[in-house]
Amino acid sequence: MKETDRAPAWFRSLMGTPPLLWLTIFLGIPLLLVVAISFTTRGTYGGVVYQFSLASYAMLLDPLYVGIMVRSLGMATVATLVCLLAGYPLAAYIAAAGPERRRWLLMLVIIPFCINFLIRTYAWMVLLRSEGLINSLLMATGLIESPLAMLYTPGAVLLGLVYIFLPFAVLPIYASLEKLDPHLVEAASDLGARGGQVLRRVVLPMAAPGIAAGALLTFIPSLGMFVVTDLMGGSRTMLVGNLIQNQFMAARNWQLGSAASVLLILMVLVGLGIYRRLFPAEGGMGDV
Amino acid sequence: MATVLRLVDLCKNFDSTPVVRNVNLEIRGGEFFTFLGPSGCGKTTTLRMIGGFEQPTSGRILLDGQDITDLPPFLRDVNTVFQNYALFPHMTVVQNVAFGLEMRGASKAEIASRVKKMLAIFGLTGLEKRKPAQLSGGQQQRVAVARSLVLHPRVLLLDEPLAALDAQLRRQIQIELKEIQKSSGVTFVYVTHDQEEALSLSDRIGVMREGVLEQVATPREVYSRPATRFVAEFVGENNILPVRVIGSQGGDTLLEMGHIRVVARDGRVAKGQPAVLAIRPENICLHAERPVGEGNLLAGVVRECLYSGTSLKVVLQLDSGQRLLVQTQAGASFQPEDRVWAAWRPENGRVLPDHPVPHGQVLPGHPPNPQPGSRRRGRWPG
Ligand SMILES: Nc1ncnc2c1ncn2[C@@H]1O[C@H](COP(=O)(O)OP(=O)(O)OP(=O)(O)O)[C@@H](O)[C@H]1O
Ligand SMILES: [Mg+2]
Repeated sequence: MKETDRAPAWFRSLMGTPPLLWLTIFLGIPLLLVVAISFTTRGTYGGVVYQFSLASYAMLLDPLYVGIMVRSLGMATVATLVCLLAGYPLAAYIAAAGPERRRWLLMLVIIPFCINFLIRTYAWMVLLRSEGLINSLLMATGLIESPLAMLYTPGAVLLGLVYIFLPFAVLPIYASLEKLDPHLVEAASDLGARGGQVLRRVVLPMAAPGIAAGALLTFIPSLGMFVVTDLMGGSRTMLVGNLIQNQFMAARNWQLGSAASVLLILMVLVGLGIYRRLFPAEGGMGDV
Repeated sequence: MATVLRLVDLCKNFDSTPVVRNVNLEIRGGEFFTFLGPSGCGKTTTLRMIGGFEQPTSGRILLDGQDITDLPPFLRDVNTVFQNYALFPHMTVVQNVAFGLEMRGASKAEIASRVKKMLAIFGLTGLEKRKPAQLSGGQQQRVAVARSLVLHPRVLLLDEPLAALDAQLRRQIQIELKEIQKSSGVTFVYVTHDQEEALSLSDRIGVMREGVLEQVATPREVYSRPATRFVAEFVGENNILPVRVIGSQGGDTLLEMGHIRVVARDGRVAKGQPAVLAIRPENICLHAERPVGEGNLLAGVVRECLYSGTSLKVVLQLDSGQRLLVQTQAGASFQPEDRVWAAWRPENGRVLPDHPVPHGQVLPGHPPNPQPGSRRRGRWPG
């Protein structure tokens, strides 16, 4: 052990090179490109003219785009909250189950990952559309006269996001609850705490890092998601992800797309910053 | 003193395996009562039923005459000190100790003053702002007791509270615990598998084995008058010699060991029943010459001498082939291969039925009664 600890500096930096290279090529350079392009000027036919300009950022102040940003933040926030509210009981249920049952339940949570999420999203579309399964059933039973408009609504987007990201909330919450010593719950109850008080004073504080991690893992991808919004929200529910995709592809305005991307990255960084502030690296327990 | 806690025919099965069987017990107010028994005998399970964390399969638990069997833990005026302490890791020492009072809705001022007093009693002043992870094992242990005791429960349950501490600290905290128990007047129900701890701390001990309470008595009584062979073997060191009851004479029981006759003062085994004679090593005298006069006498050869500073332990091989452990003064000068006589007084031998299993049943996971002679004879190496 001691020998490897004292490995020469050149050896250690060599071992550290592949991840660093990887990060530079796949994260650093594209990011720099995006930031750079956001400050260039758009050519007449959509090309990049290398001339400094803040025009794209100015454009983002347009109420249309501000609305998209606010809607995106709102949608991601609501999706995160729903994922946490639905994910916590599920995680608690799995953590409380016996070891055998627990393995099965965890597998059921993970299984959807085996199927491409596009396919799963299409499956939802089949269920939700006007002549889809749910509407047909409701009409057949005579509960409704004309099909409900479920697809291509903000609700459908929310459903899609929650459906896709729920496991990302469940797993970290489960991990933190599973580590919770059941004696702590018993001790709280022994000292006079009822169910709600045990949850509020002992279980939730102990599970907080897991809940925060789950929130982060749902919030960040929800914010940037464009496929689900595109497929299930139609053209009416444009979010920042769709905006970026649109600008790069259809509108051929790379400058605006890049500026929106930079804004998105900043929002994510703010979220991460809040998380780091609340849960310092040590796990948030050992500060004097 | 009045009975505070009463267990009536308490039974607990896990998956139809009995773990606690028909425990009947009355614990008095202000008493230091200890459940003593080997690992897995059901001590923790019994305590958890009293605390409300485990529902009895059958039987009742009464606190001050009131049936609490079906009450949840938070409604029982009973508190538990857990074996691993179960301190809340995200709370400071003060917050941990204040938790129970907060749950009872005590006023801020009352909480502050009672917590402060408790911390002072337990020598925790100055550590108020620490989290459990920043405390030593002994300090954590004290916080755990303080957290429960601050509520002044009718009964405090302690499940091997000192098991995680080193020997020296354990002795120190034992004394502290005993003092706090006396001065607070709170009834302690204590669990341990350490017989020395049980003997030195308790007012009464309940010796448990495979879920059965085999004897409930004072430490002196448990030590000098064990009720069963198991108790005789588990508490302290004992020589267990198979004997045959051949009759009684006055208050004495006449026994035969091979073809040597011995006498015991008290015996509760009927003639013809399988029996053992239990003799404490310290109650046996060794003689280099055959002593004259009455008394029980066995001849043998010294096999080993173990010097411990305060005493000399001598392992004899009796002429019958059995081994006998004798404890003499440290100054005695016996050597291996010496031929000696071991003598003891009739009142120092205890005749007990030779049932390895309570009530003569064969329990699951317990080997049936082995043939006489194949069982180990004592609790020393060799
Ligand atoms: N939840 C449970 N499910 C099944 N069996 C259990 C459970 N809890 C305890 N047991 C079994 O019940 C028996 C008694 O356990 P218990 O914990 O009461 O023993 P103990 O006397 O406290 O032992 P130790 O000194 O090792 O703590 C053991 O055989 C144990 O395996
Ligand atoms: Mg135990």
